[in-house]
Amino acid sequence: MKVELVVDGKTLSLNVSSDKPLSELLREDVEIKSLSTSCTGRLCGKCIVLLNDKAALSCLVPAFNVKNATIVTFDGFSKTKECKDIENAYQSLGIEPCQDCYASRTLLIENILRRYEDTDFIDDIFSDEDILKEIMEEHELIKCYCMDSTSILAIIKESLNNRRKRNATVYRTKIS
Amino acid sequence: MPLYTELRSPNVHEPKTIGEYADTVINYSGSATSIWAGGTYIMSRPDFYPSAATNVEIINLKDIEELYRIQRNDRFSEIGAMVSLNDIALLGNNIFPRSLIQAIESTACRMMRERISIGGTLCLKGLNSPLSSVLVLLDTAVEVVIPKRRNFTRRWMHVSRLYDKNGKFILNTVFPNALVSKIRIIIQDFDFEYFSTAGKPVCNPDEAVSLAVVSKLDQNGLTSPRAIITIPSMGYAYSKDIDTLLESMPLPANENSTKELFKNIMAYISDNLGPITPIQEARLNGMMKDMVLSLNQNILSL
Repeated sequence: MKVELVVDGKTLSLNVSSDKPLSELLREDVEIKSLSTSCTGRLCGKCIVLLNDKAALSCLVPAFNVKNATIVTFDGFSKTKECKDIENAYQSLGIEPCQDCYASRTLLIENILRRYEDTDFIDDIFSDEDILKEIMEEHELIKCYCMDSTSILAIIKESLNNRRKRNATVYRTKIS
Repeated sequence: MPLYTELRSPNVHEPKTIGEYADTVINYSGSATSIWAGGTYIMSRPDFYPSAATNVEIINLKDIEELYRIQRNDRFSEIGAMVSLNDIALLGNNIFPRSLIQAIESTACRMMRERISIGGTLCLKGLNSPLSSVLVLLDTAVEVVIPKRRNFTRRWMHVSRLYDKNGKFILNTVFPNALVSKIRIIIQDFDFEYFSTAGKPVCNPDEAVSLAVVSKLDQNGLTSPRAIITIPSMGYAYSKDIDTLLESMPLPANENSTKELFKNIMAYISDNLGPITPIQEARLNGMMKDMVLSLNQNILSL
């Protein structure tokens, strides 16, 4: 089956088996290095990519469902300013995920930041128990226990502050 | 090179209307077909890929616009089968019964819920999700498209007719290639609602169990209560017998009556579904105690 898709900004046309999982497609046909593991659908949570701007477990998406899709993997995302917001938070807090889950966790944090970056009051997010529960449930999807919940929430809060500061600077530059 | 490069790539059909869907399933009635909604459950099976058994015609429902429609009035909401669980949770947070929202939220985390469709959840073969049981409990109706020679018919039925009395999915045995197209959820209020689930039904069905109870409540006790117990790997226990046990329970209930209720429910499960694992039994016992505690709190605050 011929599949046309955009991976990390590159338009590709691939001939693959229609039921091939996206994770396998990215590893074997596009040679994405950040997807090193292959759980073949056992929900290890280490194959997260941004599929059409939303985080998805790539092992649960078949090739026929990514026709004309835009995919961002950690290989591409690590070169963006958005990634720097999260990596700066890792540095300033002195906590970072292990190499095993670094790529997936960073993309998952990015997905959460996109959901809440336009919220006026950051503190409201971090005092709403439902939202915190929702965030932690998403992180439990990644079967790696290198970080505790307090660290994850601290990183998200710090990254959100970094993102908003950067957005404000960009906005001010545009106005001036 | 990988060893599975010689495997055949399945044909994928992407109908744009229900009519095209019916044409496709009739044309390929002699071949094995696999109907795809979100695909999350199918792809999470350990032997999904690479597999030698890929000689199937995949019918992908993602382009059928009708399956994404949502309509609502004062009495019910009609939801297309391809609407994601996350959209339903957001849409129905203030209008649907709390137990339904809890069942949706317990299905998976938000990231996964965005990719799981309600129609797909109802039509899982070999696995009962707590959500499908709660929909049975809430008297949900489903519209089923039944392909017939050169045509198709639509029929509304109670969601429990998708399953046999023990919760095994039988729609495709009764109506081959039938498709659930809409789900009608009644907007209703209950005085007492309880939903609890333990374990992970998809990853570890032998350890998961869930309990849902809805009822009207007055000073004499429960009025027309309904309860359903889901054992994901085996089916569900939903019976007038269990409802009568709950209705006849003196309230506020003491420890003995809770034990008696649990004993009777366990006997029903073992007679109809078979023996459950010790961890499921322990979890169900805990849920039952929690439910009775919550019920006592409600009855004493009336």
